[in-house]
Amino acid sequence: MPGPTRRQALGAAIGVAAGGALIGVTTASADTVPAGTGSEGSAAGLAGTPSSFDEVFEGRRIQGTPAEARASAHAHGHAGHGAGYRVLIDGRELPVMQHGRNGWSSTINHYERFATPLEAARTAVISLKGAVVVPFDPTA
Amino acid sequence: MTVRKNQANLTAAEKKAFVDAVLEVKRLGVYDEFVLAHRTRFSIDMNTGVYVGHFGPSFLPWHRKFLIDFENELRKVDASVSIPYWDWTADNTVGSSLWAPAFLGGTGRPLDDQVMDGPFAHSGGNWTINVSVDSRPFLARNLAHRVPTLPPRSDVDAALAMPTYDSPPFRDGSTGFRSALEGSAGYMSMHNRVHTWVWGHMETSVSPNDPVFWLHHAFVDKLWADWHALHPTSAEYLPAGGTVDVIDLNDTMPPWPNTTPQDMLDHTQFYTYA
Repeated sequence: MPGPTRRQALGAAIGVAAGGALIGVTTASADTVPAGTGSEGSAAGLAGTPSSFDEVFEGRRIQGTPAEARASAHAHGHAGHGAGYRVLIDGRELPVMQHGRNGWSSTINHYERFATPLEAARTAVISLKGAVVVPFDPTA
Repeated sequence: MTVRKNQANLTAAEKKAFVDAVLEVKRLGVYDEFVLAHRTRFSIDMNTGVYVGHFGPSFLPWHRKFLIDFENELRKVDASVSIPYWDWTADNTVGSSLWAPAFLGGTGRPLDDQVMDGPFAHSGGNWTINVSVDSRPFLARNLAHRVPTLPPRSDVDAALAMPTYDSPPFRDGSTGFRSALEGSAGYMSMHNRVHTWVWGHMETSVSPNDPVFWLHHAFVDKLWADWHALHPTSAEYLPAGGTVDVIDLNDTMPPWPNTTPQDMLDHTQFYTYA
C-alpha cells in the first residue's frame, strides 16, 4: 500500500480486522468451543488445567488461577487468550496463552514455551527486572 | 529496484542512511504503528486461535508484507535505503559489528537491560518505547543471556533441505520448512531462538521496538526465498485451500484488506537479495 494514504489505510485496516475478528471470537466461543480450537482444545483438555499458584518470586507477587476464560475475558477487556488461565504480577495481569501441547507463553516472553503458567510468570519477573506489566487493548 | 544487502557488507554511509531513515520514521510516529500492528496481531491470533502472524503457515507471507510496508516507509524518507539482513549464523557474537555504536548499539546494562549506546539508546532522545506491554520506556536487550548461542548454519541447512512448506495441522507442532524455520517445532530454535537470544524487547510481543527485528526478519524472509529456489517443484505455500482456521493460499491476511499469501510469493516484484 504505497502512497501518502497508507498510514491511514493501515490504521483503518487494523480497526476493521480487529472488529471482524472479535465478532468471530464471540461466535466461536458460543457455538464451537472445542471445535473452534481444534486439536489444541483437545490437547488442553487431556492435559488438564494447570493448578493455581500464589507466591512471592524475586520480590514480586505472582498469582495464577484457572479462569472462566470468556467471562473473565469480557469483564477485564481481554478476550481470554484461549486457555482461560489468569496470571497476575503484583496485581497486574500478564496475558498468557497456551500453544496446544507445546506449552505456554506470555506477552513478555512470546518466543518461548513454558511447561506451566507458573514458569511463564517467573520468567516474566526475571525479564522485567523491576518493570511492571501494563495493560493494553488487545484489539487496538 | 530495492536490493536488500547483508548488513555485514554495508558501508558506513549505508548504515548511517538506514539508521537515519529509521529514526525519521520513528519521529513521524509511523514506526509505532508497526509495533502496534505486531502486538495486535499477536493478541488477536492468540485470542481467536487463528494463527495469522505467527505459529502457522502465514508466518512467512505475513512478515514479508509487514517488511515491505516498513521498507516503503523508510524509502519515503530516503529512496536509497533498504532493509539489510542479518545472517545470524555467521555474525553470531555479541562482538559483531551489527551491535556497534555506529549501527544498532550494543547490549543493555545489567541493572535493567537498558541499551546505553548507539542511535537507539533512550538517553539520545530519539528512541522512546511508546507501544509496549510493560513500563520500560527504553530499548532493552541482553544479548546471549537467555540462550548462549544463535542457531547454527547446520540447523538452517536442515530446514532448507525439507521438501514440504508446511503440513497439517498447520500450527505449532507441524512438520515442514515453515515450522522448522519459525522454530515452533522445537524448543528455542531458529527464528524464535534469535528473538530470545537478543532478549529485552525482542522477546516480547512488541519486538519491532528493537530495530534489529527488521534485519532478523529480512534474513528469515531471504531463507524462504532460498528454500523455494532449492525446491522449485514444491508448493511455495500451503495449505492451498479449504482449511478451517488457517490462512489458505488465497485467503486475505489481516490487517491488510486484500493481501493473500499468493500475492507474496514472488518477492522479486518488490525487492531482491544481494
